[in-house]
Amino acid sequence: MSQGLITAGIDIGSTTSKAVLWMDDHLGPCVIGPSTTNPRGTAHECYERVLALAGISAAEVGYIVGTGYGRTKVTFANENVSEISAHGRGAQKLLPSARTIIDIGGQDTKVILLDGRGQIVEYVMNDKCAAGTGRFLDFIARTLGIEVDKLPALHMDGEYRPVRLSSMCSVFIESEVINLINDEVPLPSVVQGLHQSVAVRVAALVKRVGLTEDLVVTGGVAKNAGIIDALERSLGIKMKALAEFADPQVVGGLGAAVIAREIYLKRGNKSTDPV
Amino acid sequence: MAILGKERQEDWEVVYEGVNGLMELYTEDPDSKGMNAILKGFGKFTEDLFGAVDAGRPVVWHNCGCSPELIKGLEGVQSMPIEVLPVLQDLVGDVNYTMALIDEAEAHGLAPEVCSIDKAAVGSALKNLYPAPVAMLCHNTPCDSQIAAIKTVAELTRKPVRMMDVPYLYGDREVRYLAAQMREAIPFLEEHIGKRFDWDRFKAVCEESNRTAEYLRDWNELRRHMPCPQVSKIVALVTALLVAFSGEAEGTAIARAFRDEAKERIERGESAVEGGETYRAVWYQDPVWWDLQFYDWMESELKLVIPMDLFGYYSPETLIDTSTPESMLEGLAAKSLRAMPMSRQFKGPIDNFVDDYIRLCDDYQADFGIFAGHVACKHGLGGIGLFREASREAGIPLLYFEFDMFDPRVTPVESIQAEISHFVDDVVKPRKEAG
Repeated sequence: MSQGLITAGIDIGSTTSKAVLWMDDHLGPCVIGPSTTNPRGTAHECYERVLALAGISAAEVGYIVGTGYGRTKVTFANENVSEISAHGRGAQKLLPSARTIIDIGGQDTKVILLDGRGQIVEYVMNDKCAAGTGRFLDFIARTLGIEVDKLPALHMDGEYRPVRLSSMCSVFIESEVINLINDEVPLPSVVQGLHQSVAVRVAALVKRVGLTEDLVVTGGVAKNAGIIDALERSLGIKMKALAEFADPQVVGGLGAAVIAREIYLKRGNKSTDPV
Repeated sequence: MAILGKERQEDWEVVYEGVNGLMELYTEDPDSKGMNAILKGFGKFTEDLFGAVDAGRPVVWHNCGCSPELIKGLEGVQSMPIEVLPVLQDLVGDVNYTMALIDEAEAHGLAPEVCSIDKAAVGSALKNLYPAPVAMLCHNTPCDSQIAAIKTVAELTRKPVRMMDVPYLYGDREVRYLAAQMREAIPFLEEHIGKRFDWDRFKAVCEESNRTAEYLRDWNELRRHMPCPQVSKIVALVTALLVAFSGEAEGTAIARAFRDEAKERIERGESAVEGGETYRAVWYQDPVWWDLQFYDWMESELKLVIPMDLFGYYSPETLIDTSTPESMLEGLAAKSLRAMPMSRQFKGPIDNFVDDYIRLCDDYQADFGIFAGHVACKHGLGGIGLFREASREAGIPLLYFEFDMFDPRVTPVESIQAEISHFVDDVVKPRKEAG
C-alpha cells in the first residue's frame, strides 16, 4: 500500500524556506528559496516549484507536514511538527548511525541527541542570541565586504591561525573584527577566528547533551566547510558526512516529509484535513 | 478580623482578599479538600500574625531554612517567616506586588543575582510591611541568598539575630553540631521574648510536627498511584506548609486533608486529569508559584500530571524522638538537615539532589523529568551537568529550562508552556508511542 506513495515536507525557516518530496521512500526533488514576510505565500511558492520539478500535481501527494518557525503558516499541510523532530528524523533517515545532530540554522542552533532507535532523548537550543547562527555569519561577512559563500575558501587558505575573538556578543564581535581589519590582520585568520567563535558556542551545546557519536551537522551552515573544520577541532572528533545526494539545508524538510509518510501509513492511507 | 491598618497596607489586603476569594471558589468544589485546607491555613496565618500584633504578643522572625518548632516552644510567641508576604502574594494575591518588592530591594542595593524571594523579603522589610520582631532566629540554609537577605533585614530592623550554622554534611556528627546550636539559641529566645522556654510545650510542638510528617509520608505514598488522584499544584505547596505550620495543629490539619483527599479519590477511582492522564513527570528544583493555574493548564492541555516535586517530597527518614530534651533537639536538627525541602537537596553534597530525583522518577513512574531552573539558585543549577548525566544513565528524558519562581518577568508563562509542549511532542510522546 506504500507503493508509489509521495509525501511532502515544507520547512519555513527564518532565512530560507524549503520544500522536499519523499517519493516511494526515497528522496525526491527539493527546492530552497528565501523566506519572506509572507510565509503563507512562500510555502505555496516552494511547494508549487517542487511539484513542477517532480512533474506531478498536488493531488498525487498523499500527506504534507510543515515544520520550521513558520510551520503554522503552511496552511495546506495536514499537520506540522517542530524543527527538532524534523531534523532528528531527517538526519537519522539519511544516516541511521547518527546519534548527535547539530543543526545550525539562520536564527538558532540546535543540538539533538538520539538513542539507538532514532528516538529523541534530549535537545538544547541557542535561540536567544545571534552569535553562533547563520545570520551571524551573514552579518559579519557583510562587514568584511565578502560574500558569505567565500568564507570556507578563506578559512582553508594557508595555516590555521585563528584570531581569538574575546566577545560573546555578535554586535561587539563586529567591532572587534573592524579593529582587526584596521590592524591588517590577515583575512583568513579573521575568518578562522569567526568560525572558531561559532564552533566554541556550538561545542558547549554539544557537551550539554553529551557528546555521542556519530555526529552530523545539518542546516544551511553545514555547507560551510570552515565551520565543520572548526567544530571538529573544538570537539576533537570527525563529523560524519550525510549522503552525498542530500543537501544538509533540506534535512528539516526531508524529515518532515519522512514523518508525513509514517503518519500516512500509520493512519491507513487516510489524509487529515489541512491544519 | 480586619486586616486594615497603618502597618497592614494594600500589600496585605491583596493577600487577604485573595485567600478569601479562593476559599469561596474552592469551598464549592467538594473535590478540593486539600486546597481548601491550605487556603484556610494561609488565612489563619494572616489573622494570627495580626492578631498577635493587636494582642501585643511578641513576633519572632525566621527564614525558610529554619523550621519554626523551637520558636513555638515558647508560649504566646508568633513566628513569622521573612518570606511570607511575597510567597502569599505569589500564591494567592497579586504577583505585581512581589515584583515591586523585588525592585525595591534592588534599588536599595541588593545584588540582582540574589534570589527573588530574598529580595522580596528585603523589600517587605524596607517598606515596613511586617510587624516588628523582638528577635530573629535563622539558619544559614538553604542558600547564600538567604544569608544576604537575613543580614540585610537585620541591618534594617536593628533587631538581634541568632544565625545557626547548618553544616555541609548530613551525618550524626552534623546533627549533634546543629542540635547544640539549637540548645544555645534557647537562652537567646528567652532573653528577647522575656519568657521561659517550656520543654513540655516544645514536646507537644514536636509531637504535632511528627503528626504532620506522618500524614505527609502517607500522602507521598498515595500520590504514587496511577492515575495520580490529586491535582499537580498541591505538591508545590508543601514547603509553604512546613515553613509556616510545622508544629501546629493547622499544619497537621492541612497534611491530613491532603492525605484524606488523595485516599478518597483513589477509592473513587478518580484521576487528577479530566479524561485521564497521559503523561507523568517529576518536577524538580522550583515550582511556578506565581501562576498556580499553570499546573491546571498542564493537566487540561497536555494531560500531564506532576505526581511529585522537590517541594512536595518529604523524606521518610525523619521523625523527632520526643523522649528527652536532647533527643528532641537532635530530632529537630535532623529534620532541618535531612527532611526540609531545599535544605536537604541544595545544601551540601549533590547526592541528595540527584539521588532523590532519580528515586522519585522511579517511585512515581515518571515518563520524564522537568528541571525548572530557578535562575538565582546556583546551588541547584551548579549541578546540572551531573544531573543530566544521572538522568541519561537512568534513561529518563529531562527537560531543562530556566525561569524565576517568584518573578514572571524572567520567563513568561507562555514560554514555559511552549518549552513543555515541545518537549512532550518531540521527546515524550514518540517514546511513549514506541513503547
